[in-house]
Amino acid sequence: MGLHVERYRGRDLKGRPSAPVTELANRQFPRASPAADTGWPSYHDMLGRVAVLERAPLFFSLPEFTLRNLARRMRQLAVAARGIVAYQGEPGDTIFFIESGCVNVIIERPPGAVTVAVLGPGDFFGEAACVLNRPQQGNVIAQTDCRLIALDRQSLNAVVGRDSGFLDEMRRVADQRYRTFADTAVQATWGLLLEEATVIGLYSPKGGSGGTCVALNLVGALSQLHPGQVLLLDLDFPYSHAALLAGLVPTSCLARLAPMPSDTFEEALLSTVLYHAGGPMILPGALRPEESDEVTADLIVRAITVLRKTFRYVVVDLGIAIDDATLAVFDLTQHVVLVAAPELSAVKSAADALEILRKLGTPDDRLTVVLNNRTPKPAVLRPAVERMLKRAVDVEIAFDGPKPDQAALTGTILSMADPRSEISRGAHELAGIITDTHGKNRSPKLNSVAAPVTEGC
Amino acid sequence: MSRGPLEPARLAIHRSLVRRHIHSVVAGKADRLNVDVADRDVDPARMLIEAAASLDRGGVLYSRLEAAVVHPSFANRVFDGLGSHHLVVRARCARIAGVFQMEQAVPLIASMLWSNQSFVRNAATRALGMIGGVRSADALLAAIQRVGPRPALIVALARAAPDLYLETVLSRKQPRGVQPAVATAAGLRRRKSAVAPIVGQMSDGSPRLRAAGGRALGWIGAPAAIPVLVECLESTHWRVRLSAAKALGKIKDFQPGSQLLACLVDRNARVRSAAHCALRRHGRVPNMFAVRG
Repeated sequence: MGLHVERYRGRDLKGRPSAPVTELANRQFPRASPAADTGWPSYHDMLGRVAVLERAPLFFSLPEFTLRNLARRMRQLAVAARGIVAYQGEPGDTIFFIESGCVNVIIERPPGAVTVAVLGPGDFFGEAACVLNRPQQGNVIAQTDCRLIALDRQSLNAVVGRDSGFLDEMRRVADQRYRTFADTAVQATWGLLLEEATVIGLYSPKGGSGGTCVALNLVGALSQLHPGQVLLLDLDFPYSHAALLAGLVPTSCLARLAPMPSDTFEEALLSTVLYHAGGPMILPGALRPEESDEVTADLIVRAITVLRKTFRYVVVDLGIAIDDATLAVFDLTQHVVLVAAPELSAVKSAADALEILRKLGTPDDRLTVVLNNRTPKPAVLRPAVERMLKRAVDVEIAFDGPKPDQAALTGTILSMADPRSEISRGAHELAGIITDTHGKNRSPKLNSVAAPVTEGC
Repeated sequence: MSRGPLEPARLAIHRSLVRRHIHSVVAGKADRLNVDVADRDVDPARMLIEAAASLDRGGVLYSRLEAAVVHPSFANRVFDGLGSHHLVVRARCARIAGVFQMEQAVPLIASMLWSNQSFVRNAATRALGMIGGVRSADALLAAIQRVGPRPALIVALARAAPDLYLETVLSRKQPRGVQPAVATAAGLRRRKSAVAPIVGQMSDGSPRLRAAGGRALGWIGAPAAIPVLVECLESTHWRVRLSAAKALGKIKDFQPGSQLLACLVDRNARVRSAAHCALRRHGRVPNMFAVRG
C-alpha cells in the first residue's frame, strides 16, 4: 500500500472528463425481446470471474456454487489509465474487483489530496458504499489500464441473502477499512507522517470547567518533554486569558494578522508568538473581544498550516461555542481533549459534544475525556459521569485547592513549577496519553525552534 | 354476485381484517403472511405498500414485514401471481415484488413490460426501477429499444442502473433512439462518471442525442462539459441550443461569454428565454437594448 501526499488536484478531477469506461464485449447485451434475461457469460469468462472472487478477501470463504452464482451476475469492465471509476462523495451500489491493473484511492482533504491505498489484482473497492450505504470515501482512479469486475448490491443480496452472516462480516470489514482510510487521510494530511506538528484541540463545552487551565498545564507538561516545540493557540473567545494566566503581556494577536499578505504572513505570525521562560509558547487569538470576529476559519487554517511546520505539538484552546472556526479546528486536529467539570449541566454538554465529535468522524482513540474537579466534593461522581458520557473518563484531575488561582497571580504554570499538585499530575498523565498516541516512531527534530523575539515575562 | 345493501359494510370488514393481519405480522404476533393476492374485494398490494411505507426501512418492524413477504409461503404466491391470467393480479404482484425488492422476480416482471395494458406495463416498469440491479436495467433497456424512450422507462432505468452501467451503454453503439434515453437517464442519476461518455457521444451524435446530452450535463453540473455546451450554442438545431443554454445556466463555474449573449437575440423564443435565465442565474442581468443595438 503506497501512501503519499499530493498537492490539491481538485482541478484535475473536476476540470476534465476522465477516460471512458467500456464494457468488455463478452457479455450479451439486452436485446429487444421479451426474454431479456439472457446475459449468460461464456465458460472461460466464468472461470476468470470465479478465480477473481476466490482471490478476493472474504469472498474466498463462500461455497463454490455461491461464487458461480455471483460470477454469473457480474459485469466485466475495462477502464483506461487515468479513468475515474468512483468519485468522492457520490453514492454507490457496486463492489468492484480488480482483475488486472492497479487503481489509486485518493481522498481529497483541502489543501491536499492523499493517496490512501494503491489496490492491485485481487483487491476490491466500493464495499462501504455498497453494503453500508455510505458515500464513496475517495476518488478511485485507474493507475494503469484496468479490467474490473462489478458486482451490484441487488445481485449480492439476491445470491448471498440479506441477513446472512457473510453480509454482517462484509459490513464489519467495510467499516474497518473505511475508518482506516479516514484515519490515514487525516494523519497524512496534517503531517504526522511527514514529521509535522500534532494538532490537539482542547474543547470545554461549558464555561468555568477549567479548560484554559488544563490547556496551559498540558502545554507546560509537553514542553518539558520537548522544550521550544510546543505552542498554545488561544481561541477561547471572546475573552482569551491564556497569556494572562501565564504571566505574559501580548502586544499582537492572530486576529490582527487577517489582512496580512501570504508572503509576509508566516514571519508575522511567528513574531506574534509569546515565549514563556519555562519553554512553552503562546499565540493569543484576540486581544479584545471585538477582534474575535476577525478570526475566521480560513485564518485559522492558514495559521495552523504555518505552525505545524514549525512546532511539534500545537494545542488549540477552543471556546465553548461550536462555530465555523471550531469546526475548522476539529477538521485539522489529530487529537481532541474534552474537558468537563463534574456538574450536571457540564456533563450533559460534554455528552452532546461527544456526540457531535463522533458525527464529525473523530475516532474514539483520538479522543480523551478529562474530568476536572473544581470543588472538594463534586456533585456528580465519576461513575455517573461515565454513564452519562457512555464512555470512560481517561484522566481525572482531583481538587487542587487554591493552587491554580495562586499560580495565575504569579504567572507560573503548575505542571512546570509544582509536580506534586493535582493539576500537574493530571496534565502529565494527559501529556503521556498524547505522546503515546502520537509520539511513536518519531525521530526528534534536529532544529528546535528559536524563540521568536517578543515580549515575555 | 349481486351487490346487496350490506355489500359496503362487508367490504369494509374484509379490508379491516386484511389490514389487521398485516399489522399483526408487523407487530410480531404472526410470522407468516396469509393474504390472497388474487382477492377480488381488496387490493392487498396497496395495503402492504402502505404498511411498508409507514415503517422505518432499517427498523425491526420493517424487517419482520419483509421477512414475511420474502418467506417462500408468500413469495411463491407472488411469483405465481406474476404468471396469472388476470392482469390485475399480475400488476399487484409486480408492485409487491418491486416494493420488497424481490430480485428473483425480475425475469417474470420483465415480460410484463410488453403487455398491451398500460397499467400492467407501468406497474412492471416501476417495480423494475425499485428492484434495481443489472437484470432490471437490462430489461428496461431492452424495453426502451423496443417501445421507444418513454419517460417512465427512462426514470426507472435511472433508478435501477448500478454504477457505471449507463456509462458503458453510452460508450457502445446502440439503436438510434436509445442513446438519448440513456443519456437522459444518466443525467437523472447525476453522477460525474457519466460526463465523459456523454461528452464523447455529443461530439458526433445526432441533434436529438446532443439535446438530451446537454440537458443531462446540466443536471450533473459538470464544469468539464462547458466547452462542448458552448459549442452546442452555435448548433443549427434550436433544441440543441436550448438544452445547452439551460445546462450552462446550471453549471456554477461557467463564465458567460459572447456565445450565450448571442443567444439573447436567437430566432427561437425559447432559446432566448433560456439564455436570459442562464445569464440571470450567473448574476448578469442582460441589457436587451444593448444586445440588440
